[in-house]
Amino acid sequence: MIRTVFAATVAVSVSALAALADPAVVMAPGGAGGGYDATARLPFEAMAAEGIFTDGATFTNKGGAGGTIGLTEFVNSSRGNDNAVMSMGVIMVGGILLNNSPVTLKDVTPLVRLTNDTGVVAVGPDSPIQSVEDLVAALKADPGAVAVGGGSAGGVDHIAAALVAKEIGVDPAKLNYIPYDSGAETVTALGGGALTVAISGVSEFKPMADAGRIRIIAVTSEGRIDGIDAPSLTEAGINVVIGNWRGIVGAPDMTAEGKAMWLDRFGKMHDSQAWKDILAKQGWVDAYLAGDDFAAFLAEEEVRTGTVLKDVGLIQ
Amino acid sequence: MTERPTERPWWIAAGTVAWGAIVLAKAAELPQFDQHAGVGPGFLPSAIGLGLVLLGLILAWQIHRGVSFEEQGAEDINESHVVSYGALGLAAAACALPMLTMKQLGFVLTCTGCFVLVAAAFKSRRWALNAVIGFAFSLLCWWLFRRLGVQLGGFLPIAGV
Amino acid sequence: MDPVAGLLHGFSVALQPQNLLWAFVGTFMGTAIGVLPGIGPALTIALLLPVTVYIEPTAAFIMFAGIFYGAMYGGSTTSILLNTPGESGSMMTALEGNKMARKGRGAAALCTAAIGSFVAGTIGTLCLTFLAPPIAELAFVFKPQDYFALMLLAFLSVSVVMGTSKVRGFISLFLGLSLGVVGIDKLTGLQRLTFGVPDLMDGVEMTVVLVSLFAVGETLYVASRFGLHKPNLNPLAGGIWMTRDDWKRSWKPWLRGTFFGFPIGALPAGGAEIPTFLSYTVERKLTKHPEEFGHGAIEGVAGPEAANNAAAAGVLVPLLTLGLPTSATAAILLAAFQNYGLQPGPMLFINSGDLVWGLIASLYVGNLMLLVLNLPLAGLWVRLLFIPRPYLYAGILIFSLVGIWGVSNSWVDLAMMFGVGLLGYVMRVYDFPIAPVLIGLILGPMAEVQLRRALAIGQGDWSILVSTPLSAVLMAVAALIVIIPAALHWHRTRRIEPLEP
Repeated sequence: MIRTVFAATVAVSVSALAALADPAVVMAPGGAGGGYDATARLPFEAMAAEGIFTDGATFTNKGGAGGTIGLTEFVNSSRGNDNAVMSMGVIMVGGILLNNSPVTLKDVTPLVRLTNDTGVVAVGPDSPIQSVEDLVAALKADPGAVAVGGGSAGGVDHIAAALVAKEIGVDPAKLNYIPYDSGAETVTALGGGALTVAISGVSEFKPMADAGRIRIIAVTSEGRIDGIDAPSLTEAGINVVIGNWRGIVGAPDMTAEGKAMWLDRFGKMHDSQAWKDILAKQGWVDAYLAGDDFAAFLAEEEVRTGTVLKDVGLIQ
Repeated sequence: MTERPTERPWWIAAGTVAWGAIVLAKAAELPQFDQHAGVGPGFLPSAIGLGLVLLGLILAWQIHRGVSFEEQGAEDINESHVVSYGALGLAAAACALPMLTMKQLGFVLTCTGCFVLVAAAFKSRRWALNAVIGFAFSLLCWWLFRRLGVQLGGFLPIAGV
Repeated sequence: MDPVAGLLHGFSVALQPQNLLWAFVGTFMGTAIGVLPGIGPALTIALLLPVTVYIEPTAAFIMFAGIFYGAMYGGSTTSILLNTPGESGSMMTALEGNKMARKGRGAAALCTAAIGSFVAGTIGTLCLTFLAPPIAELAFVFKPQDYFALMLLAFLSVSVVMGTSKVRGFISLFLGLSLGVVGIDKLTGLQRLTFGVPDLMDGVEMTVVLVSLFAVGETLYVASRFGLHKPNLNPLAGGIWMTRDDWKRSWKPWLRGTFFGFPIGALPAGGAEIPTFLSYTVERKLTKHPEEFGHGAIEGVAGPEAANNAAAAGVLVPLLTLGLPTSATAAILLAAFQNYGLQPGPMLFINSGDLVWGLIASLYVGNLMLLVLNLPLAGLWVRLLFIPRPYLYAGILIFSLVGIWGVSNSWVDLAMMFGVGLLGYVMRVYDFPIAPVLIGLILGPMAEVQLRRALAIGQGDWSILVSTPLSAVLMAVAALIVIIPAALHWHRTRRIEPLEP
C-alpha cells in the first residue's frame, strides 16, 4: 500500500514536471545504429515532427542473440504498460527458435509491420551461372559445390536459401551455406569469387550491382522491383517470397485501449509526409500491415520459419 | 628484493586442468565434424580443452621441480613486495560491489561505494571526505555520460527514479 | 574532379577560421573522451556524433575528422600512463609504453605516439586521396584462406610477448582461446560453452576482458602492495621531449607501422589489432636494442601506435569508395553520412564530390590539429600521475564501469569484471603474461571462422589453404619464422646441455 502511494506520488510529480506528458518507453533489441534501433527511433521522430505524439520517448538498446535478450527484458519489465513498445522483425522470429528462448512473440502484443527489405540473389561478375535456371541446375548437380553466402546461420538469408532448395527438390540440410557477419564481407567475397552465390538485402547489394561488381539474378519479392533488372523467384518458377521485414510490438497484456491508441498513432504516422521522407532517406520499402492482419502474418512466419529451421537441421 | 621460500601454487595447475576439462566436456557435446568443412563446431574447443589440460599438467610438473614465480613489476609498489591482504580485500570488495548493487542502487551510489573502497584500499582513511568526492565524481560521470547517450540507468532504480 | 583540384577546393573550405575552430573542438572532445579507460574510438564517436547534428554539414564533417583521429589517439594516453588500454588496438602500445612511463619517460612515449599517429594518419590520408580505388580492390582479392594465413602470421606475435616462461605464456594464450569460443558458433548457430546463460550467446565481450585484465587487475595488484611512502619517481624525470636518439629509433617503426596498418585496415575482415600485433613483432625482431624490449623500448610504442592509426585511416577506404563499413567505427560513420542524405559508395565521389573532398581535407587538418594539441599536452597528461593514488585508481575503476555497464547493462559483464579482474591479479602475482590472453581472444575466433569458411568452400580439401599465391606466401613466411629460430635454438642447445631451473 505504502509503496503504491509512493509510486503514485512519484508518478504524479514526474508527470507534473513533464507538463502532464505520458512518454513512451521504447525497447530496441539491437545495438545503436542497427536496424532494430532505427525501427524503434525513427517512427517517433516522424510522430513528433507531425505532432501526432509529442510526449517524448525513452529508448533502451539491448542487443544480443538475434534480439531475444532485448525481448526477454521487454517482457519482464513492461507487462501491462500501455506506453511500452518494442521494435522487432523477422530475424527475431528465427532467433527465438534458434536460441530456444523461453520468452516468445506470443508473450507480446503485435501492433504494426512497418518496412521490408527485399532479398536479392546475386552471383559474381564472371560467374558461369547467369540465371535462376543455371543456379537450380548447379544446386541439383552437387549442392556442396555451390558455396552460398549470406547473413547469420538461421537468419533470413539462410532461410531464403533453404526455401529455394526445398522448392527445387534439394535437401536443405545439404546446402553449403556460409554465414558472414556483415553485408560488406559477403559482397566482397562474392565479387572476389570466393562464393558462388550470395543472398542479402537489396539495400546492401544494389550499390555494388550498379557498379558492376556483382550481378543480381533474382529478387525474393512477389514481383519485380524498380531499378533491378532481374525476375522475382516466383516469376522464375520457384515459389518463394521472403523479406527482411521489421515492425513494432506492444507490451505483454496491453489493454484494448492501449492497442487502439498505438494503432491510431501508427496509422496517422504512416500517412504522414515525415514518415515518407524517412522511408526515402533510409531506402526502406513501405510494408505497412496493422493490427490483426499483422498478428496473422506473424503467426504464419513463425510456422514457416520453424519448419525451415528443422529442415536445415538447426533445430530439432 | 628479499629471498622468499619456494612457493608451490599447485592450485593454479589444478585450476588450469579443471578449466581445460570443463572446456573438453562441453566441447564433447558438440559435433566435431561438419559435412562440408570437415572441421566442425566442436573441433577447436576440444583441441583448446586438451591443450589446457596438457599445459596444466606440465605446469604441475614444473611446480614439482620448484620453478620460481617472480612477481611482475608495477608502479607504486613497495620494494619488498609485502602483501597487504586487508588492502587486497578492500579492492576486491570494490570490484565485487557493482554486481551486487548496480541493479538496485544504480550507477551513482554503486560507484560512490567503489570509490570509497578503492581509496581505503590505498590507505586513505578520510572516509567522509572520500565519500563526498566519490559521490560528486560519480554524479558528474553519470550526468555527463547520460547526456551523451550512454545507458547508465536511473539514479536510484529501486525507487524507480 | 581530379584529386589535386578536389583537395585544393577541400582545403579552401576546411581552412576557414570557423571550420578550424570546429576541427579544434572535435579533436579536443575526441581526445578527452577517448582517453577514458574502457571507452574506445567506436564508443567515443557514437557518443559525440549527435553533437554534430546541431551544426551545418561541412562543419559537422570537419568535426568528425577531429573526433575520429582524436578518439584513436586518446586511447594510447591511458595505455601508456596507467597501463589501462581502453580498446584492443592500443593494447600493444601499453606493453612498452607503460614501462617507459615507469622509467620517467612517459612524456617521450606520448610524443612518439602522437607523432607516430600524425605520420601514420597523414600517410594514410595521402593514400586515401590518391590510391583509394586500387587499395579498395584488396577487399576483393582476399579470400578466406588469405585471411587465415594473415591471422596465423599475427599469431606469431604471441611468441614475442610470452614472458619468461613458455608454459605460462601458452596457458595465457589457451585461456584466451577458450574464452574466444564462448557463444553461438557463427557457422552452425550452435551454442558453445554458454552454460545456458543468454548474455554469453554473443560471446565474451572483448572490452570487458581487456579492461578487467588490465585496469581492474592492476588496481587490485597495486592496492595489495601499495607502499605508504611517496613514490620517489618523478614522472617527468626523463624530460618532456624526445631525444635525438628517440627520433632516430622512432621514424622507421612509424613508417613500418603505417605500412602494416593502412592496407590491413582497408580489408573487410582486417581490423586494427592484427597490424598492431604484426608491427610489435617486427619491431622486436628488427631492433638494435633487443634487451630493452619488455623494459620500455620506444620502437614498441612508435610502431603499434602508427599501425593503429593507419588502420583507422584504412577503414575509410572501403567506406568512401565502396560504401562498405568494415568496422564498428565505420558503421557509425556510415549512419552519420546517411543522416546527411549521403550514400557512400561508388557514386559518392561523383554525386557529392564537394563534401567528400571537404572531409578528406579536414582529415589532414584534424590530424595536424591533433599533433599541435597533443605535443604540448603530453607534459600535462603525464601530470595525471601526480594525482594522489587513492583517487587515481578509484577514478580508473569508475571509468571502467562506465565502459562496462554503459555498453551492455549486463549483470553477467559485471560478474565477469570481478572474476577476470581477480584472474588479472593472480596472473600478475605468478608472472603469467597478460597480452596472450587478449591475442587468443581476438585472433582465435577470427582465424577459426576463416579456416572453416575456406574449408567449406573447398569442401574439406585442406590444400585450399595454400591455393592462392598470397596464402602460400604468407604461410611460408609464417612457417619460416617459426622454424628458423627453433632450429637455431635446437642446434645451440644440443651441444650445451641445458639445466632446468
